[in-house]
Amino acid sequence: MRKIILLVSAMILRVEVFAQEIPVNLQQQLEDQAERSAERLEDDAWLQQMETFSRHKLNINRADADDLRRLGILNELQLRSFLSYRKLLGEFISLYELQAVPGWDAALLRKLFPFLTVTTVISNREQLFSRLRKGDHQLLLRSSMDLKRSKGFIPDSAGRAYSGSPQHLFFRLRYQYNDLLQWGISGEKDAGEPFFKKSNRLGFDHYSFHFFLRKMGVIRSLALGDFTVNMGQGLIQWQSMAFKRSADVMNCKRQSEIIRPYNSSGEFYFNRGAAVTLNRRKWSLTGFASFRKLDANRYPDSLSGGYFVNSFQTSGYHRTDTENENRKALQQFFYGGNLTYENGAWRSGVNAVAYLFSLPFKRSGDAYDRFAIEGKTWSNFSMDMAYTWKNLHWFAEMAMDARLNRALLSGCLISLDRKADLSVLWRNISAGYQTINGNAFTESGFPTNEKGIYLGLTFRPRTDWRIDVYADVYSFPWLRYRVNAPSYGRDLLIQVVYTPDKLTEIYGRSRFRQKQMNRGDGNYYSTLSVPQQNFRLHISRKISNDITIRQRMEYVHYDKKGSDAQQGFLFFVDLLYRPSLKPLNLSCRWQYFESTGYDAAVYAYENDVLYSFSIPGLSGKGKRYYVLAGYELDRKTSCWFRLAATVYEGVDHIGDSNDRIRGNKRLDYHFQLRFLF
Amino acid sequence: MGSRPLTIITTANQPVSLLNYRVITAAVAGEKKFLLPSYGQYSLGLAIPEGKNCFGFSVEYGGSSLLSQTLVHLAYARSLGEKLGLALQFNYQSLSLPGIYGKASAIYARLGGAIQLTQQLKMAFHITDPFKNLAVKNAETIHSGDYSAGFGYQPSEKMYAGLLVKKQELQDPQVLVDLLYDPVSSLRVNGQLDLTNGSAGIGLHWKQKNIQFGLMVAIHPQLGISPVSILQFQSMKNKLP
Repeated sequence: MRKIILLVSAMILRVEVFAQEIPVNLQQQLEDQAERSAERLEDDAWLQQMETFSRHKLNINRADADDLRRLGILNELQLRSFLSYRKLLGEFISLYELQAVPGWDAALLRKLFPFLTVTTVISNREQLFSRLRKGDHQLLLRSSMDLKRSKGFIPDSAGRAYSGSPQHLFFRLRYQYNDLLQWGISGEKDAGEPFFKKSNRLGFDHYSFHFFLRKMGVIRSLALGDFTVNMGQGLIQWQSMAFKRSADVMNCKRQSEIIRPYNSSGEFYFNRGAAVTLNRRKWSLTGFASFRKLDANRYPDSLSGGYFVNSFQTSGYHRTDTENENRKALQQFFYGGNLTYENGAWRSGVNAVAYLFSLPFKRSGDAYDRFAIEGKTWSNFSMDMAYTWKNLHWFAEMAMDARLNRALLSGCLISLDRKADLSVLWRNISAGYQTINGNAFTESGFPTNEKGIYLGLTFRPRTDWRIDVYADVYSFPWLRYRVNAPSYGRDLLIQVVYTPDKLTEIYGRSRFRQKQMNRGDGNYYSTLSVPQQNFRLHISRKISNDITIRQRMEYVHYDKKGSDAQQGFLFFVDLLYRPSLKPLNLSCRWQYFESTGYDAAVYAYENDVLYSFSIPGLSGKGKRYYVLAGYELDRKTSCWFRLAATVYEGVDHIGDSNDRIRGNKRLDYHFQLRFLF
Repeated sequence: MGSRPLTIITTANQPVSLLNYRVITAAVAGEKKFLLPSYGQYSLGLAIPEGKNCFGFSVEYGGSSLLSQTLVHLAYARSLGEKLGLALQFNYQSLSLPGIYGKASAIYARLGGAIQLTQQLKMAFHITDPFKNLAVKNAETIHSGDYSAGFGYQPSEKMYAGLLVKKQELQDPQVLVDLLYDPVSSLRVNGQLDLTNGSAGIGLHWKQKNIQFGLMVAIHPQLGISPVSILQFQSMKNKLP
């Protein structure tokens, strides 16, 4: 039987080499994320992880559930199905045998193949010394710059607003032994930040160091230096990249290791200290502690004579005197732990996080801010659980904060049939519930003040057709920023994907979103429902072994009623040249955009240098072009260069304040070198 | 809405369609827009295929002495293998409104691509002015770019269905549906529908040796009826595209 499977699947599957091109569904998720907030997109740990798996492929006869979760491609049902299959039938003979795993289809395998391999099981209990000796080093140097100077770099009577040069610089030295040990150091300077002078006497504005160990005796993972903590379903703590609603409708469950190494350029969403997860049979215990000085908006307190803070500054920019005033204004001590019991299909854990701050938080007098965090301490506790029964996977998290406000999130992934999967997620988070670093599958950025139900359905009537549908209906029991009343909203999406062969993918999608917001015409005590509709047609066709053409058309209509309605339109054509045995690859894009306001801005994923991508939000009218070239000088040295231009029509300046550029053109380059040794 | 059947005249706006021609083809057409006495439109077109290449030329004149527009198109299309075709077209556009506006003209480019997705399914796109107006005199006042993408589905030699999404700058997108059917070898019926504004057109075309003659009627819900007549000639006996 196995031989038959191998023969059949060898004919219909093709392995694609991972070369900085991430899967289309992931690009869509990133685009959706960018529409919400670009803040958390700086975390490139997942891109590094994918690139590591592409070079050191995961052995499917050895990989455990955590290894497979780290890929970020499988949902919990597919993962459990794989583990049961392997347990039942023993080691795999070939990757093509994966097609026989229930719930795994050719489309999924195409996504997975670049990262998997199959060999017989060998011990992964290598000694620490050999792990430190046998790995690979990687040095990454990146520079980028806007070639048109913005107002902040041009001196006026008061001098220059930005204290540093316009280059953005980044370096990262990383050592990695498979997925079992890694350490690294990185440094970053944003455009406008000083380099080896003024506030940055030590060179870069931000440095990061990490040491991370996996699977060493009783230690499942150990982190020293910078790391992130991700727990349960994100109701109390989730710092790594995580997606919300997207066309990948089954991806509504958060899954990750609790501790992950951190070495990205983002300066806010990580911890600095130590963390460890110990594992003994069915139990694992995690503890972590971190101390950091954070940027925060600090104000004098007229009552106490001291200072208070009302929010964090998460941008990481230290270019101006004002930005430097709030630099490291707040000391944060963060600690917590987790105890997990896992017994095959059943998994449950208890989680706790606590914060001590050097200055108290104080909320504003605005009504929407009534439940904001106050004081110098904060804590959250939760219990999470998951259970797989046949073709159903159930998961939940129940959380509580320091003021005993409650939050509950529960969901199910169900494989209805070989052709259909269903996901359901329900959340009920009280208006008073607050977290510092929560990031759950909710409409809001933070899990607070929200009730709702989400339904997703993937239907594959034929092997070449797939229909993805989701509906999310939610309400906010208390006021929100710019919404001066309890409100509700809904979000509906239908996407039809047609893949007539392995070289072609066509999808069309329509999304309808409706939310309430203040009228904005002086009557701030009533709200109106504001619908937004998106239509998209996307075609990707590989016309030869080396060349792919992509084309997209998108239309956005944002209806704030009356004269405030806004429209957005985008059209692009991509040409990708990736010869299989040559050291060069090229991508270029031509794009037209037209948007009558920020609420109808258009977003499209753009390829960039390795470990990086861009999703500019474009409004106004104009054209955008970019060319990206990657060249492998030898087996150990690679370089990338990207030049991008945006030409607006009918404007004499771009941007505001210190980022204002004279004229109608924006031009920037990215250059990156990578050495492997 | 394009209210004419697939001929060399209509390929003026979809230059990549030139790749459908296997023999030299010429066509003339006349249209009485909304039956207005002073709004006639006249066109002349020529397609010259040569191996994998095809050259196209067309001239359009519309209006009267009070308001007129002239368009000259010069196009080149090339087939790059079985899966891809590209086309580049240069347009000269002139608008005249004596006494009030004067005269304005523009030269601009149009780029097109066609991708064969499956044996029966093809997609094409067109972009006006991908880089900027090449030579301009009051150009922005008379010409605005447009971007179109669409699918063509041909289940048999006798039938063709097309769907085109077209966006003109600062206008709402248009969705156009096209149908062609040859009930017998000497007769072709075509229909077109603009889903955005509800206008529609229907036509009958008779083929006799290398000559094809067609009559069409386009109906706009607010503006009324536009009759069109068209005559097409092919250099040798061959199937019309």
